[in-house]
Amino acid sequence: MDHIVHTRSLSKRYGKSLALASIDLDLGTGITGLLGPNGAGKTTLLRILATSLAPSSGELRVLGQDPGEPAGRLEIRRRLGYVPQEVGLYDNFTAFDFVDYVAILKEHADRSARHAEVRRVLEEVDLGDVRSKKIRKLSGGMKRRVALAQALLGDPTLLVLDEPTVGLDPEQRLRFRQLISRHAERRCVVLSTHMTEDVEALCDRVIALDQGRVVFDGTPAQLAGVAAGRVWVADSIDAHAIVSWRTGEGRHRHIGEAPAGAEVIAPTVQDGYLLLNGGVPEVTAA
Amino acid sequence: MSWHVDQFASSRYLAGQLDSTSASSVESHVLVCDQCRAELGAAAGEIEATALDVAWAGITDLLDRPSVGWVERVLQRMGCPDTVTRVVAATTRARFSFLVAVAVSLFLAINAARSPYEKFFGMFLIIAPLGPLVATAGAFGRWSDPVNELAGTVPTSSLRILLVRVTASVVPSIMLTALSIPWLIDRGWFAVAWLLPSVALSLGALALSSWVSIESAALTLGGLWVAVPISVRLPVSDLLELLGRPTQMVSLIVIATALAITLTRRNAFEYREA
Repeated sequence: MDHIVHTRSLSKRYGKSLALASIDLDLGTGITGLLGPNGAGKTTLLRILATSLAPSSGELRVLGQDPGEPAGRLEIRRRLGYVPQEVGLYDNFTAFDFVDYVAILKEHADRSARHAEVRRVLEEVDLGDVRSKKIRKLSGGMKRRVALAQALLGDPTLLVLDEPTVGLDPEQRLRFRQLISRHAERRCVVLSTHMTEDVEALCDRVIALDQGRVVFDGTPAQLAGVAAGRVWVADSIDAHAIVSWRTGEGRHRHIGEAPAGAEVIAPTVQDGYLLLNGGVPEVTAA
Repeated sequence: MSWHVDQFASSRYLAGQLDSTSASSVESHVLVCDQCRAELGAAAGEIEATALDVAWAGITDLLDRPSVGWVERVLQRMGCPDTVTRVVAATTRARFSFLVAVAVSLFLAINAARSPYEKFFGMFLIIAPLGPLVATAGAFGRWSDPVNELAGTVPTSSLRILLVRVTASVVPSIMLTALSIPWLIDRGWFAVAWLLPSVALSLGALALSSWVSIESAALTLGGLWVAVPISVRLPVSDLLELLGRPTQMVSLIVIATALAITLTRRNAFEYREA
């Protein structure tokens, strides 16, 4: 089967700084979540997949095309939806005007068909009723949804979303999950996030990056499994813990090497991710 | 029943294209034939529903149609497709505030140019090309255009978008600067001596932006343009001489070189290295 995204030894340098180091990926349909601390290389990787940025070296195929070739790049861009990390919108445009503007840039030349498509994507993100409002009058969450709407134009095969749930309230995040999971049934969605609960709820696959390298590649359950036997609760702070915090029930939740006799509990994706960042030596890519 | 209304006759009847005798015949027949009445009724319903859908879509489209400013209307009347005029609109609406700033600075420069002191006219010739240069820097770029990142990932050529945006910013700023001509008409062709340097600086910044950000390119060229005349410390008459033919010739060379660089490095605009 042809992969929608295929990379081998993909690297990116900014001057002397190495942002991505020899990334090997094969992504097909479904939702892949990128996790990692700030500066891990998530945005750089997404920008490269979205053809916004050229890699420094390595092999890259997106939708079977080489973005380094003008014809291949054009083909990718025709089948791509992208929401950058810092979504820039024209505040003096209405939501409809803005998405219509992007639709023009996406070669939707016929005006009637284009306007129908703009209405469709705005309805998809529940902004149909406010499409005539100026963007400056929309809430932060609504602005994120305008950005998402433009990415859905033309029903793209590859959807690249850089931190799409930032600024969304819980209800909007739930709607976002429904929308993206519906869209991903036959397509490839790659998103970055700091929210492990989004990964747990939405992604088939999770890739954790740190300092430009893949430090984990597997399912959310496998990431949670990294912390199996290493999460326990106690009535007080435990010196064995790498990370610990007091829960709402007044007990302390600990992550690390559990001492003998500890009350071990089931780990979550967040626990696994925290252990990755804690640098526990035996954690490797699945 | 010996006959029925066929599909051809039915569609022509509903479209009002049957002659009166045939139409009467169809109407007489459907009064007594349940099958044809049902089929004709269904077809009429479909036509009405389709017509209603079309009418409703038209109304919605009219209501949603983006508001069009005068610049866009003028361009549309000149035959520009809305795929171009919308990009111009996006640029001009976003750039209105900076155009006001350019207008104010030029107003001050024009006043200086009308001064009896030749030194001020020299200052005007140096300051005036900076307006279009600032317009170029403001037309696109990561800091000045909020949609810059997104626009680099769409099928429309980035260089094409960029050229439309630069034109949409530079032309108004040149037109603003041209308002100075009536006050300077007694200076002969020197009244437009700022024009070629303006174009040269704008195109030069555009060409340089295939390597560095447009803001850095504009700052470098603008800095050089101001620093060189100041650093040579020429008498005013010699400075004006320098801003005359020599500067015009250099500007032409810069324009030709910038165009050649932009064309040969067009792939750098389409697929950014940083």
